[in-house]
Amino acid sequence: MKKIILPLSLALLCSAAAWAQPQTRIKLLPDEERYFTVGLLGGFYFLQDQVFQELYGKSAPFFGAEMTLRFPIREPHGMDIAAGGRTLTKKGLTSYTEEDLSLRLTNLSLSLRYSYDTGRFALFLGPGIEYVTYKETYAETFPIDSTNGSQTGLHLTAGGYVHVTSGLSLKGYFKYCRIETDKPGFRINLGGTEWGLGILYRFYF
Amino acid sequence: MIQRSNLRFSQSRSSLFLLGLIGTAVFSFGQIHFTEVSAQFDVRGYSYFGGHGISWVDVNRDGRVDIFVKNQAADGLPAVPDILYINYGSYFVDEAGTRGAADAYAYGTHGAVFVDLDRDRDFDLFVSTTYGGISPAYNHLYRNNGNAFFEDITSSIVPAQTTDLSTRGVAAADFDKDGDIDLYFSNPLPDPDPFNPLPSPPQSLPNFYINNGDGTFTPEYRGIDWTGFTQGVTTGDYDGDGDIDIAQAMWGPPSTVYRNNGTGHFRNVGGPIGISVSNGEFDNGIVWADVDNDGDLDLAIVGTGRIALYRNTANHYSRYQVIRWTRPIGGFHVSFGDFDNDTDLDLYLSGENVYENDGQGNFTVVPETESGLEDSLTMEDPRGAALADFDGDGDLDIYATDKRGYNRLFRNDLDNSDWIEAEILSDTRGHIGSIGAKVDLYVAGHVGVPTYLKGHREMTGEYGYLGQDSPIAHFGARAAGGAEYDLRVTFPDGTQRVYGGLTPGQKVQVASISPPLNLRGEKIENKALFYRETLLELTWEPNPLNDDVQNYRLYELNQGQNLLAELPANQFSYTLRNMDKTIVYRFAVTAVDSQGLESEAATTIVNGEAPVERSQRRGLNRTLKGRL
Repeated sequence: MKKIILPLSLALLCSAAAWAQPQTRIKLLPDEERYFTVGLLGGFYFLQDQVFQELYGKSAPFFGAEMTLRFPIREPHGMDIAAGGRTLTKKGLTSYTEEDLSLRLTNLSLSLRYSYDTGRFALFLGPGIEYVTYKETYAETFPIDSTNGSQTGLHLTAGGYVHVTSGLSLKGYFKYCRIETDKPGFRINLGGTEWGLGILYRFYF
Repeated sequence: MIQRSNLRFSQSRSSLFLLGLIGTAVFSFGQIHFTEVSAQFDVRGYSYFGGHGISWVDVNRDGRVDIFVKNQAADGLPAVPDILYINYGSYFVDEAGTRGAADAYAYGTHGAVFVDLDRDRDFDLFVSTTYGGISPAYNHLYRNNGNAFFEDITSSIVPAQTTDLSTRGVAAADFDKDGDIDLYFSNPLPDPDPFNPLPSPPQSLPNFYINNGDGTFTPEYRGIDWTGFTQGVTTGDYDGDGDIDIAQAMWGPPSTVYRNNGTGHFRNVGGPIGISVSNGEFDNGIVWADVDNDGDLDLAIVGTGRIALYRNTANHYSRYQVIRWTRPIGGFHVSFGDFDNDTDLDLYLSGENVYENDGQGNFTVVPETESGLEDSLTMEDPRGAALADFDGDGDLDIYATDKRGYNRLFRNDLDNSDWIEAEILSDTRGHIGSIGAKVDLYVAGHVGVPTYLKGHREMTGEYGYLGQDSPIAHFGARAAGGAEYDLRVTFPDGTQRVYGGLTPGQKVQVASISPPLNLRGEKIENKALFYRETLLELTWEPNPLNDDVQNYRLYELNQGQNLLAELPANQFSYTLRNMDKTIVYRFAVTAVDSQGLESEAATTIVNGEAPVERSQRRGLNRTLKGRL
């Protein structure tokens, strides 16, 4: 819980600072944006786990989706609540016998982010929680067919939007995840860095 | 006239045909008969002097047994080379000079033995030199390079010899049971008085070359005093205690037996065990053989115009027959072999005749008119002889040397399939020939049952008077009625191999199958991201002593002996999946030859420590190195 308080406090502090310093809006977007976005994401996930890197390589491509609800505080400052998910699958080989492996990781994330939106572009930064489900499938020579399970963790994300039109934006972001599990009897670090791009459509309300 | 001539020719041809049929029938049914063929094969040696002993041995490993003739020099010709007749099937050629085995030192050779000194599965050569007033007279060791080319390695493996020797008989065996071949030689002094009828004051002289195990030898005294002039020497395990004893024929002191205490130290036990030849006799040859098929070594001592035969009963000897002859020869050598393939050992007295065994060890002379050995009786001064199946027809032939005439080769004319031969290609220590090994033939299904024993042989080097048989055990074994036999080989270290269900008419090639080397086990972690499998990888190396490995058998020993896998001969590792990393495992691997014989097991213990991490993925080895 402590892990979530620090980044959340940081985000709120940024929001407060923004409230105190009003800015002139660029007119691409309405003066006060309270909007809802949906979008698609894609990118690469770089897991930190050394065993993962040994077996599957250093990164895995993913695709996902995201929706964001923005609440302006004092423009251009605001708060985003974002929920999203992504999934990745990767083929690998066992460390010694070099037999086939297959891994699928599916994440659901919920973030609370400070948003600085100029109307032309926007920046965001904030923490969140991750929920990951995993399934690893093995070759027939293994005594078990597969392992699956789930685990929760935290993340910190930052990125920006470029508003292409009043409804369409492009997104680039970075997310650092910290997720560990020792359910198999040994520790696995499912965390890492996620680098992605997205395209979003905005609905005003 | 023409018609009569044709008729006569026709009758003559018919008669010859009938005679041939009768002859073939007679020899097929096992009558002893030899034909002298030394001229045909050109193996007469020096025609008027020299021949003292003979070794039958396949020096070049071509499957044909060759002849090494040990020649003593003659007056005026002090440096007479020995002869190495290479067997080319239909003829022999003396190649001693070109192959480095001539050993042409003054005053010639008496004892010599072929033995695998360096465990490379060929026959090396230990040769004595006879002191005849010309120094030096040292023993020589020759290493066979595998193709029957010999290199004199004496100076590199034996400390410098400083005393001239009057060696007669020599012996080779693993006397100290440390796994390598040691050497013994008689008369380790320059000028013994051969005609001293009484025992000389004992002299404790170094008359052994003890193999140090690293290819070098150390001269040592091991309890056999020199007490008088010694002629033939032989080896065998007369008391069945698993070590090699020595017997020697002597002039003056009684011929005797030296019992090995198990460590290669000897004690004279001739008197206590019943060898009752008295002082003052001149014995030339001594032989151990199981003449009564009871599984132990009986004894024959030849010299002074007689053969004294001793029966072994519970390691005690009693003289039960004395054979005398009419020819004016002292008698130097006897060989025992089953000449008629009737399962008992017959006797050949060099330069005289053959004696048939009645099955109980009692011998009766076979007249030369029956045996075809008329030419044996014309030998001028017969010396050593030896037996071999030189033509590969399943019967034993004889080569006999003559000191003052040409040597004889008597081909056995037997023509049947009532035989089994056993050739030891390698024993458990890697020696070809395996001196000291015991080979027993039983009726099939009755191995170890004395009443079913059909022959007991012990592999030896020189015996009698300077003779060395081909190191192939020959047994008579009747084929009638579809008889089958089991052959049991007991190697010098006590390891046994049984070859079962043998039908007569075949040669069994015995190769001890040795366990694989360096069996190791290692637990290895085979990783998936969410699963850690513990593998157990076993690795081993082929044993260079094995020529014939058909496959390997892998056993798990934690709960009894469970066969896990049977693997091909070219596989030297095996991986067990999904093992428990906390359990201590025990495994064994054996080698199996083409006969189905299984070696002793190589074993290993794999402890319960954490498995090691290892990656076979090339690109990752470097990056993982720091973590592994």
